[in-house]
Amino acid sequence: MLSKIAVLNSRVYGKAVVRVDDCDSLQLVGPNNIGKSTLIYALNFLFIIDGNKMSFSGQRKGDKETIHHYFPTPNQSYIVFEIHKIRTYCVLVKRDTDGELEYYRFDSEYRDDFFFREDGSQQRLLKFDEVQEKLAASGLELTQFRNKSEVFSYVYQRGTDNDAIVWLEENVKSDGLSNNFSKVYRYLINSKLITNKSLKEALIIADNRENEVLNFSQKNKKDIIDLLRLNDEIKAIKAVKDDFYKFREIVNEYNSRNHILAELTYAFEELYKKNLPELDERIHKFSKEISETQSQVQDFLRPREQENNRRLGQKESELTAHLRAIEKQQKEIHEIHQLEGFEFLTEALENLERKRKEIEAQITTVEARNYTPGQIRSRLDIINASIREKENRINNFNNLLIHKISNDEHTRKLLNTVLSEKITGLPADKILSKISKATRDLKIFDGEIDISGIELKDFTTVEEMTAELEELKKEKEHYENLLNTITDSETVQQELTLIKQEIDDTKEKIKKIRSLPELEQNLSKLRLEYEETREEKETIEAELKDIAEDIHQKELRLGLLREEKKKAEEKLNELRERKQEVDFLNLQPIPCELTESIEQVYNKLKKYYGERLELKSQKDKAFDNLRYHLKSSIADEDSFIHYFEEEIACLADKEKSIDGLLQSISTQFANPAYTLIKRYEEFKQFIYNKFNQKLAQTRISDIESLQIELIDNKRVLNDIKMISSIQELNGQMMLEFDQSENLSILNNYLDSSKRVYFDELFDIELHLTLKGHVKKVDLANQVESDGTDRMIRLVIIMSIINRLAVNHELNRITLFIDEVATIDKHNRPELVKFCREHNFIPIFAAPDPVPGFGKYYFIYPSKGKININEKLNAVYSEPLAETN
Amino acid sequence: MKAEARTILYFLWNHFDLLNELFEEQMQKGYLRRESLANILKKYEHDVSDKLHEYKILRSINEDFEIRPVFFNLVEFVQNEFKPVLPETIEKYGFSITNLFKKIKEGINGDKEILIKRIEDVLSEVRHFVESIEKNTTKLLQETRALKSNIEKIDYREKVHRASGWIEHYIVPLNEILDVNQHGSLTNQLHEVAYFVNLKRLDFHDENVRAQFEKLYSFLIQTNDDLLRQSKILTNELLPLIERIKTESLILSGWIEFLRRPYHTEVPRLFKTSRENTYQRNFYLVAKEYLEQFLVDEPVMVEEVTAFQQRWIFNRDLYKAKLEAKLPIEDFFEWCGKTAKKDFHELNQEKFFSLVSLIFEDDMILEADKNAPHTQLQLEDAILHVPKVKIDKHGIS
Repeated sequence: MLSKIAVLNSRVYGKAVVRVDDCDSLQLVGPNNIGKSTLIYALNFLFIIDGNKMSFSGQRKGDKETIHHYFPTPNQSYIVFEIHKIRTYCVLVKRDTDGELEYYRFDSEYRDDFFFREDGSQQRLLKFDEVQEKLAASGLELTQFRNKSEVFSYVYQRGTDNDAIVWLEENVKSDGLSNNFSKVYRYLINSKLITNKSLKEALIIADNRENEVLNFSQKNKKDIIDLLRLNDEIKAIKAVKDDFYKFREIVNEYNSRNHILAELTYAFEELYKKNLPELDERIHKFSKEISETQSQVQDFLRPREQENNRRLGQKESELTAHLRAIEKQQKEIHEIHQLEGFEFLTEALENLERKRKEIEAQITTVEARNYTPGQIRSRLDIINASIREKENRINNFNNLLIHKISNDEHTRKLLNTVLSEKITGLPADKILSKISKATRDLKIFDGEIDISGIELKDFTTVEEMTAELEELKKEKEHYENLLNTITDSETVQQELTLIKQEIDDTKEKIKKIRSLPELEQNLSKLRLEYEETREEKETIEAELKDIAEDIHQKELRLGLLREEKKKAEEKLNELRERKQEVDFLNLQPIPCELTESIEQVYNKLKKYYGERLELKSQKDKAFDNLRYHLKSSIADEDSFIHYFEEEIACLADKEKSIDGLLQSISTQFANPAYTLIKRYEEFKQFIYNKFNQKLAQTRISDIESLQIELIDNKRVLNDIKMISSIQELNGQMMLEFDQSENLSILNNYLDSSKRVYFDELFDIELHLTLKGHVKKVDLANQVESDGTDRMIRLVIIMSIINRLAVNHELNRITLFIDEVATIDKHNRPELVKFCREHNFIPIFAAPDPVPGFGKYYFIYPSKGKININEKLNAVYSEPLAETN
Repeated sequence: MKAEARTILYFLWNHFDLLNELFEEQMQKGYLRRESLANILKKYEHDVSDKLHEYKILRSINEDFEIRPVFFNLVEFVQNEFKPVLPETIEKYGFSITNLFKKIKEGINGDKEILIKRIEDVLSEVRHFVESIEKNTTKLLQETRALKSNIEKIDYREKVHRASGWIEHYIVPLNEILDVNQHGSLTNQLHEVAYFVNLKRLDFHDENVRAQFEKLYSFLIQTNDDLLRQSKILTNELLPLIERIKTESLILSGWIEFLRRPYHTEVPRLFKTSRENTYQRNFYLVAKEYLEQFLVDEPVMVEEVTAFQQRWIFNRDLYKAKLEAKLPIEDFFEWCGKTAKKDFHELNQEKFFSLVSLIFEDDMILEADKNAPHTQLQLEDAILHVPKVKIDKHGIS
């Protein structure tokens, strides 16, 4: 236990040595602000150690300023705690030059002479090295604690078989520079810190439950979100799996096209290298041949052709001349041939001569006979009458039976003889059948007459009459001509002239006819000449034809050559263009066997390139679509395919994993929530079965009994209960968050990253028994009077500490109660009694001394630093012997 | 005859490489084939086969051998190389804990020593159970770290497959253990035990048994936390594996290598700066500390003055007695003034009010004269106008 506190050369104290183990209670008496609390708060350095957890006046922590307040110098400021346990030793605290605390230990009680040297009426505080020397001279070793942890481990130890300042119960747990005791002890040296919350906290610490906390971190939520995202990814992958296979097929096809195109490019380039010089050479060859052929045609054949054409023209004009001559001769001959025949012309000439003579005779007759027109007309009338009569007779005869009965004249004469006139005069239409042959016997009816030798009766026949008629007509003509000569002499003269003309023409014709052989001979000659010329012309023509043919052939050849050359040039240009085109495609060639022509290769290139373009379009579209659905940023198709194939291959494993992990996360929510509820139930058992039993024995003021009641925080407990019933999260969890109450609660906790601390599960209520009646008091408000309230809170804290520290007289715990005057005077002895019974040493403080304590330190104001000396400042009070 | 403990440990120290190799062999095969043992021993300069037997490190199994469990566990522990424990093996702990718990309940009022032994056995079983889980986690962490650093160049597919396998073998059984919603889960069994143990640690009549229950209770609480932590570690470890992350990073591999052997190389202290800024709160004190090194310590003198100014303390009991002797007093304030002047030889507020405070003593009856005017009192440090108050005690007037 702590037996002495010595504060040497602090900002306030020069030398303050307070002994605390020789009384059951003590009071620091001194005016306000003199440094009473400062003195007691020095206990922080021993019992709290962790600067951040220390608590000084004005809620200050053990920061640099506080340290400088207690230790203004590094070498001449000390706080010494004297400990009395199995043996007595001291813990020395000082600061180093960096403002950090240093802890030392030496195995001796505190003695002024270890730290001071008499200097006349004064005492000089020794420097640290001097202290070390002094201790060494006394055979004491000043051992430095290596670090605060070592100090902490030294101050607090479990069990009673050690020299620790505080013997702790087995159930006390340490965590770094902190344990259940140190956490609660700060309330004992600064009771102002005891609030409703700190009481709850202290109770929780008393049962080692301060670390029971339910965490809902964003990490949990992130894990869930990650898993659900993975789940969504799986769904997305499943949804587009078929599309992916199609896409992969397209890509394969595309790649195969690419490969083919690369090979074709190689083939094309190889063939191009081969074909280009060949074509150049061909073109050159064609050019040369064209040039030579052109030269032949122009320089040789064309001049020859012109010469021959000229000759041919000459021959043609000769032939035309010949032809004209021949035609003329032919025409003449033809005309001669067209003339009447020679005999005819001779006869005609004779006729014409005779006619000329007749006319000339008529004229001569007329002139000679002196015929008048009347004479002649009279004669003519007679002749005409004779003619008519003759003609009538002929007509009558002609219609009689006798003239028609037979074609034979003799027969007809015979019949005329034998037949009566009645019969012969019958009309010809009475003939039933003509008689073709006359026989010697005449058969009439059924008789027969022999008519041989019968004399034939003569009769004029029609032919005879016709002859007579003709004579008459000639005579008539003769007289008509004579009449005409007389009446129209001019015409007769003209006729005569014409006849003479005709006689001349006829004579001319006869002459021509007679020149015909000569003409025909000339014609033959002309024809011969013509033939000769024609043959010559034909020779020329043949030659011309040959030349023309030659030229033609040459022209044809030229045309052909030009065509070929043109084709070759076109081919060359085309090839170059195609080369550019292929180069533009920018395909990487891959060597392959050459089996096709460049044309085929090019066509295939075009075809496959077109197909590839189409495939590319399909592929890109499919790729974009897939990436959109999978929210993928992979730009490379191969990587994407690899990625997707892997994802598909991993689907089953992933689904299984996600289920397992989601289940794990749900367990990580449900289990701690359930556990927290269980722990809370167990904590209740601690409060009701253990803590309250002890508390019930304490009497404060008129309070007969004191018990703590835990009031469940139903809302939080219900929330936790709901969370603990979450069995399994699944892929639909986020959707169900709004539907399922327990998931909704979990979601709220996760969203706010909430931590549910143990003290949130309940509130505490005091059940006070006053004069037999139980009164429920909310500790959030002041309980009873100010003093009683402080008392109750202190007692609760002491009860807690009492559970943590071994209840032993060598393990008395120092506590500090400031402003003791506020505690009702009736309660002070109760408090002292409680402390005595539970091995606490209460240090009270007030400006005035308050009765009832074992020892008083009067702290007097001083011009310099304040000193507290056992001899000069302490007042002991002995309890009166019990008189009655 | 048993060899000296130090000799055995010294042997282990000297031949740890050999022992480690034998350990690796047994880890793989389950035992040490005679031929394998001979081959391994051949590699080392000294033939220590006799010693291995003499120190009872090896044990014969027919023709072959095995490292005794105690040494095997030692190497397993120091090498952090554990054989994974099968879920079926873990299940057995549930049965044994339940049986022991049943017996504790049945024999709660029986023999104290047996009860304590049973409590210890439960604790031991729970400890073994947790250790099994921790071994599995350690084993898994080694494998997952190897996978993350991916020195073996395992592809993604394989990685996910392995992760899935691990989840099936490590996480799913652990989920079942931790499932509070399954009545027969190990967690619920432990909760049931904890509930009973909690009651007993609080109210069991024997202090020693109570302490054992307390110990077991603390351990059970820790067990659940440990199991949950294992579950979280596994989740954290395995969840990223099914994600498509690039793990073949040099930095990551380096970091994993560092985690594997964190003490192999001393690392520089990061994020620690000793730089002080002029605008910080403690700059004055820091500067002061800096300058202290150049200062010559002034001697600190303490003079314990014996003739310090005596502080006046009001003796309430004395004056209460004096007051009571004078009761009733017609004018209380007048009495206070006179008494102060007489006894204290000075009349200031401090002393006057000290006397006045007697008015609050118990059982006093006060009576003020409404008609009497205020009386003026001349103090050394103030003039007070006081009413006339009659004071008496119950039962006297």
